[in-house]
Amino acid sequence: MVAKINVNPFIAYALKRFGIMVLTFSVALFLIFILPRMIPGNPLASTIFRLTQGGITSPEQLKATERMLLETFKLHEPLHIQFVDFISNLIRGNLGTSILFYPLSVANLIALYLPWTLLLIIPAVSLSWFIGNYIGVIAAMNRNKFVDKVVLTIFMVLQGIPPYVLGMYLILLLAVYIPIFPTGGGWPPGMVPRLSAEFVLAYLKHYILPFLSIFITSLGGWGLSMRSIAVQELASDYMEYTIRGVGLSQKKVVNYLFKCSALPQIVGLAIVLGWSVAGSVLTEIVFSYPGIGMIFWRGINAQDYPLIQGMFIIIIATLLLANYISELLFAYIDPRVRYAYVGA
Amino acid sequence: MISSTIIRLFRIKKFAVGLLILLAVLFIGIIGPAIYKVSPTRTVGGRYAPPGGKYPLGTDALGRDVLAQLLHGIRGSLYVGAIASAISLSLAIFLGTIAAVFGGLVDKIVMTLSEIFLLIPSILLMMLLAAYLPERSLWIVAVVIGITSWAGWCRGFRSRTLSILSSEFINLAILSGASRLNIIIRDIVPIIAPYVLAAFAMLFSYSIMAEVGLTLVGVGMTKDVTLGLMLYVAQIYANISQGIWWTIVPPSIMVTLIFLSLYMIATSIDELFSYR
Repeated sequence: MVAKINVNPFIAYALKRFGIMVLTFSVALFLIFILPRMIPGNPLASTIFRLTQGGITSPEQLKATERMLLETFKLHEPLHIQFVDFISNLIRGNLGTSILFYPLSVANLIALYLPWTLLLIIPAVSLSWFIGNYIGVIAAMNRNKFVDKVVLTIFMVLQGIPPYVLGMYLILLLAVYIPIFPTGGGWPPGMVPRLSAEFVLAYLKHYILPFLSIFITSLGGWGLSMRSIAVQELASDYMEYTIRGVGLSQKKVVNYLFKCSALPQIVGLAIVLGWSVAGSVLTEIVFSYPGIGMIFWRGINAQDYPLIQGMFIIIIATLLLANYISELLFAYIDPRVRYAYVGA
Repeated sequence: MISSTIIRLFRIKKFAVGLLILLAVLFIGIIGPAIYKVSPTRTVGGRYAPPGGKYPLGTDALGRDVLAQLLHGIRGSLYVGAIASAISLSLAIFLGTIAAVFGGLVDKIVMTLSEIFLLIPSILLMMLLAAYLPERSLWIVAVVIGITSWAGWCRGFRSRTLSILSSEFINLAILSGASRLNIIIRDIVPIIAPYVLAAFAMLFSYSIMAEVGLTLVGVGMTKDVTLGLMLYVAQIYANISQGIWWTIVPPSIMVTLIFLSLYMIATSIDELFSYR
């Protein structure tokens, strides 16, 4: 007989979701651990073979690489010892050493390049969230009128264009045919990142096109979902009251509507920002923007296993955490969610 | 009743336009390679010949005919979409209905499994798998996309099935001694059919986009020609910054058209059946 303890439903919900998050992370870690070891033909041996063919020429360097790979993956040990080692390294925050960027550790690389990715993603996504949602509300206010139809069509097309494709077109148009902006990179070659007016200006010039490609393509998704939320909201009694009864100005109604409909969109923003590290990979590749996605891509192309493995762990961890935060936010905003989970 | 529903569906302009675009793309992808008989993988001329004359869409970095690549690429991408969405849709329907009808432990297992698959981003799982398989054909990529994209739709099918299960005629079926599998096949699947259609359209476009994304990152296709592989080759040889538009614009327009048409079809099916 279990005594019925009265728990705060929010805490109960938070704990349950935390459990699911830990379980999911464990499954992901297990997959990351087992897959490279399960694939027939030992990918690590073939990596070493490929390295001897390409870049690395001196035998000392090859030996060092081989030793490092063995140290990271401990392939000569039995599987369970490998697993214990893998986990204990992880707990100590040791993600291994990159082959491609040899003396640098994976954790160092991430610390070095993550800020550039965040600098690109956070402003682009936040601004498109704000503007897209605002236009969505205006479209909902003018439902089935000309403005709404135009906005709806444009947003639908925008939603269909992936950011990297728009990026390619922007480069073709604004960097090749009308050479206003550089075709790629984060700053002119030879320049070192530092806080000077000269560098900031050069950086901004490289920044505008990738920023635009993410900003413009994410407008559609926000706008479309906001429009459908706001249309439902408009049909509710209190909105009827504010528009017909009180007779507020159009501008004020838009502001109220924005605030009332934005709650689910805030949760969406948390999820999208969590995706940013993984989601910006393609845009960064197209613009050869020096962020974490670019490093990841170079790691994949060079078969840099420690780097790939470390990146996967980091990306999945950020994603799960962002998802967890958005779930808590949602439960905090909407009490029905947490009560549904506790079953009270 | 069915025919009137179809007529109503065609009255939605968005649906008609979407279907028209999709049929045109399908037609090009299926008939195109049979009419324009140039190998997409053979070097036919010098590199970067501009469009016009002997090569209608020019040649790419390896001197291959871009039009032939495009036609075969559309076909390849459609294959990937069809295989991947068939796999993921059957998993979603099977697991979703089973979980709802059988309940109890089965339901718990399916729900936890789908929770994990929802949270682990499918594109990362695909990258992880693909990163360790050096040679990747169309089939491998399609199967990987298929087995990682079912979770969300599985939950959708489960909740639809649950709401059907609470209706009167299901009780009658149970009383008359129908087995649970029988109920799924005869009573539930026909009712959720429009939803299945919308899910198929969404999964199809998702799979095609996922293939392009994966290949562009360098963990997707390596053997068969798809739209993703065309963009990948263009990207690797830095065609954009050289202003060689003919290797980029045609495949990217095709990808966008396929996505848009399927999105239009899926949303109009959804609108029609949820506003009943």
